[in-house]
Amino acid sequence: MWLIVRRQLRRPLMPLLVIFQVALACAITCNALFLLNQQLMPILASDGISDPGRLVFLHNIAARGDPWPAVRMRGLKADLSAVPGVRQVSYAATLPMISSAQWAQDVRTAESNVKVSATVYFGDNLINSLGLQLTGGRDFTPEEEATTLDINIMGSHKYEAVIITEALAARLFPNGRAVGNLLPDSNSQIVGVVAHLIRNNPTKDSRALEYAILVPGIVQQWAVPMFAVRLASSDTDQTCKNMLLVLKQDVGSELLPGDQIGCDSYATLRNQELAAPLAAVWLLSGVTLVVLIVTITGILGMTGYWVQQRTRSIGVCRALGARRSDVIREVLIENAVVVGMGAIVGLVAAYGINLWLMRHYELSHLPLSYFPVGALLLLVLGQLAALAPAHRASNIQPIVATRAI
Amino acid sequence: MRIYGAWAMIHYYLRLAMRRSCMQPAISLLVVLTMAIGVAACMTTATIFRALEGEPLPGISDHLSVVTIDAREKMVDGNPTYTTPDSLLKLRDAIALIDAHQASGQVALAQSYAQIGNPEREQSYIANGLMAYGAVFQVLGVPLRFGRPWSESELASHAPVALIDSDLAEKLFGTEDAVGRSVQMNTHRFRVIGVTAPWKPRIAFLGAAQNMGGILASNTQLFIPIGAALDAGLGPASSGECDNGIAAVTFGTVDVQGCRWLEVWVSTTTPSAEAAYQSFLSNYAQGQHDAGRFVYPPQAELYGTRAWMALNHVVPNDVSLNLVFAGAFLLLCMMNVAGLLTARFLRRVADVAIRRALGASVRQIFEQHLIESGLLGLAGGVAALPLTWLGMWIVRKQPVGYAPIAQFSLSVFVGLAMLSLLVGMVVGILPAWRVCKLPPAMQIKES
Repeated sequence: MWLIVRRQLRRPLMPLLVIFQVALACAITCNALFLLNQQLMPILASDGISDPGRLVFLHNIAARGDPWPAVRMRGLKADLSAVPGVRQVSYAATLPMISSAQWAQDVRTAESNVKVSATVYFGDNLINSLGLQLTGGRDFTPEEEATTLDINIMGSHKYEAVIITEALAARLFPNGRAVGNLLPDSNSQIVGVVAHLIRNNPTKDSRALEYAILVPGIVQQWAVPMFAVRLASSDTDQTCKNMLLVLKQDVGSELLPGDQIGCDSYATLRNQELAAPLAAVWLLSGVTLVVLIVTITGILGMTGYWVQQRTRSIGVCRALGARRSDVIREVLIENAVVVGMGAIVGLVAAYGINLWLMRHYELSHLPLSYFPVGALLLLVLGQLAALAPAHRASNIQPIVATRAI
Repeated sequence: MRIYGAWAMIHYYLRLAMRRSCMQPAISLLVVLTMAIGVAACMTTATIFRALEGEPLPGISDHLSVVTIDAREKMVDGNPTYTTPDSLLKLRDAIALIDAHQASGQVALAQSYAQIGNPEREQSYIANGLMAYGAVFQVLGVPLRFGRPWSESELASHAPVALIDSDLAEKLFGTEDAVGRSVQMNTHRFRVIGVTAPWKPRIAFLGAAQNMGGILASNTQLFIPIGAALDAGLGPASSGECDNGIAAVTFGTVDVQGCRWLEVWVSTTTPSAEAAYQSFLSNYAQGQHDAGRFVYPPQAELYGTRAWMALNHVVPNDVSLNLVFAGAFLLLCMMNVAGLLTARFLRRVADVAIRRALGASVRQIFEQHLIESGLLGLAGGVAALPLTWLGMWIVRKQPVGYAPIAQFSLSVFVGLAMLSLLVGMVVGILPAWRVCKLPPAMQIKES
């Protein structure tokens, strides 16, 4: 081992170049993988919605003047329910994957003075139409669903019954059952818990991706009402056409001018909302891949050069009785030592870069688990890159030791 | 004669370099490609960075500041902290600040979308407009093509006047000079008193807190005085913040007295003028606090354009973050190429030894190798051209607000050429030095 290091020190330029390359690659890869993971989280999170192909959202319905009262929305909802192919219609003020209307509420957690922000979805019969899975408690009663919510009540969080997600329940009541309790600092009783439901406003905290609260009822004079429609078949186009006709009949003259009403399946909306993180994922994986390829070619070139430079001494070793496996092992160990040194420098650099990024870009802390993963990745790739030159070295015949090159 | 000699040598070295590169095509290709990828990544991110840094209104916005006050008039339960400075003001405060005339220029602004039409013809467009109180054209430096800006008396008397940009004038009236014509908005008629040239800031910095994720501004096609606009039922695009803590969201209308929806921008030319305005502002806000209107300590503060943009993350972090990443990647590529070149140069120690023995100086050897790496760098630059184009294309496909600015231009081309030549030379220094360091006797012996 010491022999190898001493040999490198005698002509330090090439090993140093490799060490710096590996260090840079390690630092870039660690940070890129970290960013990649952050972008992947909303894509991989389970949104809780079942059969997304048969769920259609009617959205971007805006009134020209004052927004419609709840009674008009009930009428519209009844008319939409009569459209052939429609199984169930829910009125909603906010819906997942529609970020143009968001409502968030800060909830106090069991930890003292820690509040988390949760998305609030207002609407009637949302559990059924979104196809959420109730894992505790009960669904809202028909009386609760028939509530008319006033915007001022929404501001003061004075709704009577709420259903929350398992993720939020676990955060608010880590030691007990959430069902039956009051939502902290409010009069709202938690009547049920759903397995999954994704929030519709971004968060950097991976735990908070499913912090959501469901509130039953129809919001009085909500500026951007929407409807979640569960279909009997997956023929969204025809049903959308019919529903838009009904909508135009009911409120067409009061709509904001322009043809902006959206009727999209949940799957489409989800793809639109997740297009940005998905594009970032592709870009970051591309970058990581290119960085690794460049590093590997660097290691490959360098190892090949060493082998060529040392053809004669390898020949001497072979003549003195070294086996081919000994030669291969020698080259690989040397490679591991140099790449390993680079990885150590790189991990320190990665940590430093992450600290700097945290200061300037409000990124979160690079988890320690990334360091061994990054180092191991480079070590393995370094060994793979060294395999071909090592094999070439092992093919050197002892006879070359006896003649000049 | 000596100059001729030097050129002849350079010419000779170039030919030599070409020949050597052709002798090892695989390694040459690897070197060129690696440099090209690094340079292309750097150029792509640098182009975006350059387009988004600097002043949103060149020569003007550095003198502009925005007024921020904690102007809440009702106690909010739960979360009373004023964590980020708030630039939105109520109409009465905005008018009071403008009418005080304490800075060399001041204007209150709110963005608005208006359905605007030609009353004689059956056509209308949705125009991106600014509702303003004060000397908006002077403060923001909006160039006028025809007509005049509105006067103080028109502002005070709510006269129904408007200025439109030449594109909208062309669309509505078929001519750019629309001065004196009438436009219809809602049920009201406005007289066009001026036509502006198409105008937009380089970066959307007005109403930054409300403009979610928008970085690139679109042309402001319409300027209307606030009083007349409100009389006609036109309101701001965003409802702002209202006393009961809830935005009463309706489109085009807002509770004008009860909500904060205006930004006040002032222009000050000297630091002392800015300090004077700051103290005036603090006094005004403190006066309102003492009178019981602003219930929280007002923390009135002026923010310069750039500080305000940084505070609101108008230009997203990933723009400079990407540049940092690309820079690190270029460094990685350069190390890689330096290693490959060292290996390549050292393989030909014998040639160097013979040249040295025949009387070539260390400097000449150094020059020869530097020229070789410079040539490879230039070739890398040529290969980086399509790669940069590809990089820009990838950026344009990304769903980010700044995607449209990823465009190839002459400056990108020049930057690319300079960068690749520089990278080629810098990358060659270490390997060339390594070759020259060997004493000639040793070199001959080794070979």
